[in-house]
Amino acid sequence: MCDTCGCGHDNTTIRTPHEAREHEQMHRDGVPHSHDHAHDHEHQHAGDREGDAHARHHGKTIDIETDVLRENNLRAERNRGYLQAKNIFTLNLVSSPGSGKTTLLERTIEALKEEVRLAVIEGDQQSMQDANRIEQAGVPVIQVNTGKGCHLDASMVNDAIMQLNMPDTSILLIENVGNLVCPAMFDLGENHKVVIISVTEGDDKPVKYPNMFAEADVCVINKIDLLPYVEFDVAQCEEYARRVNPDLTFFRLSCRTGEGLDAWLEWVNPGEE
Amino acid sequence: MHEMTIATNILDVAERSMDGHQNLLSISVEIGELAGVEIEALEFCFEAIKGFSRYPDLTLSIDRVPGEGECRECGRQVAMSELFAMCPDCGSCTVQPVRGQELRVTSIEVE
Repeated sequence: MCDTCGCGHDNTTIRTPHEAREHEQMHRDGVPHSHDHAHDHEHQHAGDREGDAHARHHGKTIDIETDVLRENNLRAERNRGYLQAKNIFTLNLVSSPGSGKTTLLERTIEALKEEVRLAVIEGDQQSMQDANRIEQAGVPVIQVNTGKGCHLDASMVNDAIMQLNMPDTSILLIENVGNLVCPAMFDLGENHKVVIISVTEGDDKPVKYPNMFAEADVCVINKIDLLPYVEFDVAQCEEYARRVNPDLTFFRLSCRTGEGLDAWLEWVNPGEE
Repeated sequence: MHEMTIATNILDVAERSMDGHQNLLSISVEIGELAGVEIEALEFCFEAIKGFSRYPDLTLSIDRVPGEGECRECGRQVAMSELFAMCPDCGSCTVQPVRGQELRVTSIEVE
């Protein structure tokens, strides 16, 4: 959302850091402009029809048997098809706010950007903070600001993917809104959901937020350099997580010291023999 | 909260299926115990969006499906009210849900 004019307040905005700076400049220069933002999530009403002269007294039942998240799931599959066709390996990074998602992205980009083309979709309620950091790291990035929304959905990601226009055989990293609850339900079309938890959060997170751990394929335990200072039992955390998802793959690492990062990087971009 | 998205989606799915009828009287949904949806929050959100729809008297009928899991070690079926259960037979903690994750609009009533 634009902090100056409040445009996009109830709507989602999807833009690059450059577009955001241009918009802010327009405010500083006093240039009149419209607030026509890409994404309006108002739901649609059925069209008005001619009145029915004979009102019925008994309702008619229509069987539907449709998944509530069908629209999102369909769009997610469209994203998936597009990404697979272009051989774009896509990760959906989810966690509580403050676990170190953005820093992990920065370290990943720093290490891999000479080997493979990368792009990032950032999700937050407001601000370009994260997208600006990624721009500094030197890869294309789109910031999705959800306004009041608590998760990214497939249509936001679809818009961002179209704007990114990535080349074939690249890696797309999606940083979801910091939230360990809602993003679990919304498929974006990714190859894997990666749940990130830091050792300052409590090793019982997996049992308190089981849906997210059940949906993820990979769990990153971050900030392991702080283990001497906190009451976090890594083995216990992994055991809790395996109870809701026996198939989870774990990476224990520190973005600050680099410990454990190599194994993560190797998984994200496997080296060739 | 995501229950707002879900309430909106329920109404969307229902409206798209009205098949030429004018008035939407009720929507029936099936929500599993393990679907990650807080029923009271959903009801609250649905009441809120109903006021903005063309159907202010619309009712939402929620059929709650109990959670059931199967132990990956010994195959025993157990009731699950959360995504985290221990098998009463073999004690293993690899019980996986087999029922109770539904989140569906099952039918609507129109006139």
